[in-house]
Amino acid sequence: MPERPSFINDKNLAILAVILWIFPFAVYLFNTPEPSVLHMSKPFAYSVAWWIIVLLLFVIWAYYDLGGGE
Amino acid sequence: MEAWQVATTIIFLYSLLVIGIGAWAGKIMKKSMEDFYVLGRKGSTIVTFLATAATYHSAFAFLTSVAVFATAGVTFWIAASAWTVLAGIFMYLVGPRIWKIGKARGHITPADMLSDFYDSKAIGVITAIVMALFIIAYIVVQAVGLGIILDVASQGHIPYQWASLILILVAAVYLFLGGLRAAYWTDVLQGIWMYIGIFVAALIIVGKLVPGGFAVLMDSVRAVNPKLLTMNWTPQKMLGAVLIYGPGLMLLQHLWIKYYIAKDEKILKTSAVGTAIYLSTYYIAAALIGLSAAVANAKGIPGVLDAGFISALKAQYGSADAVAAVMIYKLLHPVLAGFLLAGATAAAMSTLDSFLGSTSMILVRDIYQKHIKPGADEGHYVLVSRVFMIIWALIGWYFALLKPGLIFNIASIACAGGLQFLPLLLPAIVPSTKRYINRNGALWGLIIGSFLAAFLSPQIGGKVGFPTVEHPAVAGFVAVIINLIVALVVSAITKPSEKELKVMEEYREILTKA
Repeated sequence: MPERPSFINDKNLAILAVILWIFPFAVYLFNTPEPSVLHMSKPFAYSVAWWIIVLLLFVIWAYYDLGGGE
Repeated sequence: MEAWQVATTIIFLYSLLVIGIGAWAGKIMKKSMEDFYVLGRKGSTIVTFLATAATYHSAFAFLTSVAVFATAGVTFWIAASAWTVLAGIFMYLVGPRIWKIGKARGHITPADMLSDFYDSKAIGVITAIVMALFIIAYIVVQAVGLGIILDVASQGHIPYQWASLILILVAAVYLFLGGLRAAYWTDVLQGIWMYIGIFVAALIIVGKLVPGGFAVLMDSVRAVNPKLLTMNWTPQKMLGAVLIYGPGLMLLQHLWIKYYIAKDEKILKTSAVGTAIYLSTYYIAAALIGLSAAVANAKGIPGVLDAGFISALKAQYGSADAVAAVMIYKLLHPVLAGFLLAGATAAAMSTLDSFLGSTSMILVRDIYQKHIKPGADEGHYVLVSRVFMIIWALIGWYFALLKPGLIFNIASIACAGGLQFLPLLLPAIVPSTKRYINRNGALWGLIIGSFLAAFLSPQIGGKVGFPTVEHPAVAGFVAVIINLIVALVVSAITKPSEKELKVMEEYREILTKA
């Protein structure tokens, strides 16, 4: 059976979530409509990038947590 | 056949299909509460995942998200991408714990668990009452959504009020026939239908309105209203929205009982990941339709939509919620529009059925069975729960007739109520040797928090002269802070009973057992 890394546990996931969910509020620091990546505004592009990162992290976390790790 | 007849016929055919599934589910149903409500705790990954995801996304997702994207722009994405993934993580962390305790101690409702943990009948009854009252706001949302969808599809031949009633009764009928098993089965169909539907609608609508792709859409939005590409909510509204639509919504009874249907913990955790992906990616399509609608609203589409059509919809329906339905009907072939509007119907019905089923469950199990008529046979309780389903459906329809405003605002009241259960739940699912919140603290915290969540909301408190905050999301956030403070202070000055401490130890054993 594959070993689950020791840091993969519910407590750490909760702590990580609290930390990561502070970041969406950074949009107020650069809240302007000027175009950036793919002509999106900066807050929109930042939010999309943040969403991709946290969703991927969650999927990878669950993969190891549920026994699918190497 | 005229276009409206085609679209309306497809919605009715869809309605017959879900009633058929309800009848089928009813045929194999045993007359036990556990089977009627939580599938006998035998839900597979696909049923648990799609029942949760389809229940979470409702008329809110298909109608109001598009309306908010059209009027407030990417603000909705910034907040909703945060709360949808948080909802999945919350389910991942909390769901298996509720499941484990529920299986060990026979819980099938939120009140079962909270009254057991706090050894308090009063907490059970108040939990049931608070949840049943707050959920009315969400039932109204689905009733409004269903009315708009069929009214638009039939081009007013079936007026809003009757359209709403007809589709509510469809949901009530298949629930009546097959119990919550019917809701879970239809959720699978509805979850797939609404997801494919919104993406098909988005691709076609954007292709027609803003040919040239995503970058051109961004430039078009910037040209008509650059503010739509910025965050337009205050930080407190954003924080409130993330909390009430993340943990808050996941604690309302229709989603809480989903934690009991899974066959095992792994199924529940896998479903939570799927739920986060499903819920958040869904809003990509909603964003594309909503932002295209903003462009169409500014420029108009000759012969199809007048410039400023969103204002006209606000005047007709009391909110901008009809934007998605109108765009689909006006821009797509009638057959495709019929299928996609049936997808919108699926979104509303898949949530409405769970509301009606779960609310009737808590009213019967937590109040009627325990305090009004204990000891009757299970068939009697199933019959009474069916009566409650119809009553709550009609209450929702009545309020929908009043055209209460934007679905987003109304739904937020219900979720603000859901968030008030967080301080009560955490001590039960996080093993600890110290009792920070006891029966008295939990009870007073819940009562005060629920009251404030409702009356600080402008839609309720504003009508009776209570001082209010800017939005129900902020009300929910402020209320849960006060709820927690009250719970901690009262608990600090009162002692937990021996039985409470014993139950806490038993919960700890269940949770720490491998």
